[in-house]
Amino acid sequence: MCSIGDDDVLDDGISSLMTPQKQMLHYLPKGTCYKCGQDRELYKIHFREAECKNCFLIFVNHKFRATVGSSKALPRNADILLVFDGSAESVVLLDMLQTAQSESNFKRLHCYLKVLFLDDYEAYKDTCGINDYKLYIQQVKDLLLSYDNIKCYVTNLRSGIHQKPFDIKDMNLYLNREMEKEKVFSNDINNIQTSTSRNEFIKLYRKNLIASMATILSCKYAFIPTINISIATDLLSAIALGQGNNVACDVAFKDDRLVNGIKIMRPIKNLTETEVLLYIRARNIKWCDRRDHVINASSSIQRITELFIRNLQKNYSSTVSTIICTGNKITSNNDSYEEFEEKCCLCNSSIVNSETLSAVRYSRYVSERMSSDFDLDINFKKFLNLTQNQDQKVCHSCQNIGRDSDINLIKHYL
Amino acid sequence: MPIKCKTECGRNAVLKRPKTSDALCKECFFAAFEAEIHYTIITNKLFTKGEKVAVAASGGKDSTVLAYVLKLLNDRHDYGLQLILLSIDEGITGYRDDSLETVKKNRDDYQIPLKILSYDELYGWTMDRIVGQIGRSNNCTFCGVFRRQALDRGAKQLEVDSIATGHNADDIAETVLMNILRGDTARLRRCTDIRTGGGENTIPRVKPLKYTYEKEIVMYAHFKKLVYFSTECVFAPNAYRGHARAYLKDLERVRPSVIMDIIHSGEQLLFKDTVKKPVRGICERCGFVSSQQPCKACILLEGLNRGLPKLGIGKKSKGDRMRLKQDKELALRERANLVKNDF
Ligand SMILES: [Zn+2]
Ligand SMILES: [Zn+2]
Ligand SMILES: [Zn+2]
Ligand SMILES: [Zn+2]
Repeated sequence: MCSIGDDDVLDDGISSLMTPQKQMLHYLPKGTCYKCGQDRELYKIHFREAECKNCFLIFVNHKFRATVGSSKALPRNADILLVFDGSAESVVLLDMLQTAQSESNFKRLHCYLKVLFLDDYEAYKDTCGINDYKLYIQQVKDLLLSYDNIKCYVTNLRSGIHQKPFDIKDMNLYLNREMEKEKVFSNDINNIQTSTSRNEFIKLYRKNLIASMATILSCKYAFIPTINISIATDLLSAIALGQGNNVACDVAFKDDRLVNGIKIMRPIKNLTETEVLLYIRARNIKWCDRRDHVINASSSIQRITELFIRNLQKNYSSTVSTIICTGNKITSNNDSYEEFEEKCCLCNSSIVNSETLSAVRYSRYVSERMSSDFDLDINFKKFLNLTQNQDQKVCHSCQNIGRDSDINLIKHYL
Repeated sequence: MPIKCKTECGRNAVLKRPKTSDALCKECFFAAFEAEIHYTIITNKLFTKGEKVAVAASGGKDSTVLAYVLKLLNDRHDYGLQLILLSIDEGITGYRDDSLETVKKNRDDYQIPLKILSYDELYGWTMDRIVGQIGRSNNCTFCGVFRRQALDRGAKQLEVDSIATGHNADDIAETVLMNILRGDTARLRRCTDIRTGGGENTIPRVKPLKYTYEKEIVMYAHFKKLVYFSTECVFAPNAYRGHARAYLKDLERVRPSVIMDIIHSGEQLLFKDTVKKPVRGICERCGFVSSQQPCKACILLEGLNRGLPKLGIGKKSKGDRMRLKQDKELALRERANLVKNDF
């Protein structure tokens, strides 16, 4: 159950905002490890005694293995595609997977690993200049090339789900690829009026793309490096976006809503930012900064939610873990009576109806037709007929996307 | 050039509806606002003809608009309800004095009878005296817990069939967020219900303004020139709830439909079978609805009467320890007295 009591602020007051590298932890006290009794540099996370590097690493790796193991959803010798972006979380997950593969006998994680660098510059290009982007690409390439025993690939968010990914060694081919079609994609995305809907569309599309790349690279499982604060943000955003009926899949370890049987997994969903940063320090590994941090605070539901959670976490240190706790108690009904239910043509979730949704529609209805000679009773019946005959191929949440864009224009991407 | 009303009634628009962003004239806004509440009442079957309904009246904007609109719809659509205003006097100097005057004015303006019940009558304590004991840090807990039960007690006295409260769409969306943030799945399950209670021993509560935006309530009251009392509770409002409220306002600014979207989300949440459902029973001390034994109001009351006002605040185990400690001390003192008296 929920015994997680993690906290994202260290006891010595170092805040662990996962922003620039400069904010990395530059000071760790020396002392005696409570576990093994050795005098070392001490790693201290909330709700745990100060411990040495080795004991800390054992703890964090155990957390990761527990998440992967507890669900029993990952079979032995599975083909795994790690979705990578050079972020601190993604290098930690890569390092943990490598460690787990090289463990001795019974502790060893038996799997076959491939890495996909998903270049999603399209999603943050407004906040990151082209030169910073080029630098970042170079960094990711160098980083991945240093893992010479793993096959690494690169693809672009805009490239389309049928485009084969490039080998990371062919970075030049990738950078000079044919981009005419990609411009159409960018154009279609830019035609979505609000950044909230744009983010939602990209989120849905990214999932499809990951599933498709996994299929092309013959992997059944895709690992994504989402940590606890992102899970909390995703959960609260989904609530705000009207996705209560399928929010469970957004926060669970396993997400199997994808059409081609690919399963997306979140093996480090229980890690905190502090743990990620301390892990990086303990293992002395590099990560790549995307430098896309200047973002308009009030631009989208997702962004407002992220900032809200970060601020709240500063004042109430159990914010993130409590939200995760709530999320762990939620389930979805997407599996039940699958065949009878209508599915949304954008997000593929079940289309539900409720008094609240009909109240929403009634609001729009009267707001457009109301006048002094409006007969409430006649129109009441008219409205009910209208509701029953309505063409309902889009779920409530995606109707919001529809209000900000032309659904027919973006539908074929999903 | 002035903008025309969206409904093509021919008049000029004077406002933009917060809920739909449509530009409407005053008359069309009133009509739409009232039609939606009527729709909510009818489709959710909130009332039955001949019922006696208590309107929880605080003098604030929500309950004032609720009383006004219920009266209007009851007459217009012949619901056949007997309405009565029910007010609770917490005994907060400078807060209730004025708001109760407002409720009295509502009574006269809308011709609805009014019953005022005081905390002093119901519990033997006024909020002013409670604050004297506990200070200002936890008084909102007392106020809220006592108020909740006060309505039940009052409704029972008045022998009504249901209590209508002024909870609006913003309140409900905010409560959904709050319950997620504090991990309260029991409340998360029921906070979106338009009707709660109504079992054997309880009087049901209904929320006719469940789908009405706070901004529209303010707008409606303003254009109708309804008199309401607009000061917040004089004690510090709950800081945590304040964060949730600010967050909701930020969201509403980018997407006005977010309030309804959150309510919809809250209703659609399904919980794993392993998550235990709270048993809503009856407090054996006072006989009112409670999921705890004894109910929170009874514990708080015990704390006040024992001179341990913090008794009901925080964990139950802590309360038990405090009780035990006091009992021990009392026993010791008694023994000491006995010893003294022996001489
Ligand atoms: Zn150690
Ligand atoms: Zn959808
Ligand atoms: Zn009009
Ligand atoms: Zn009781």
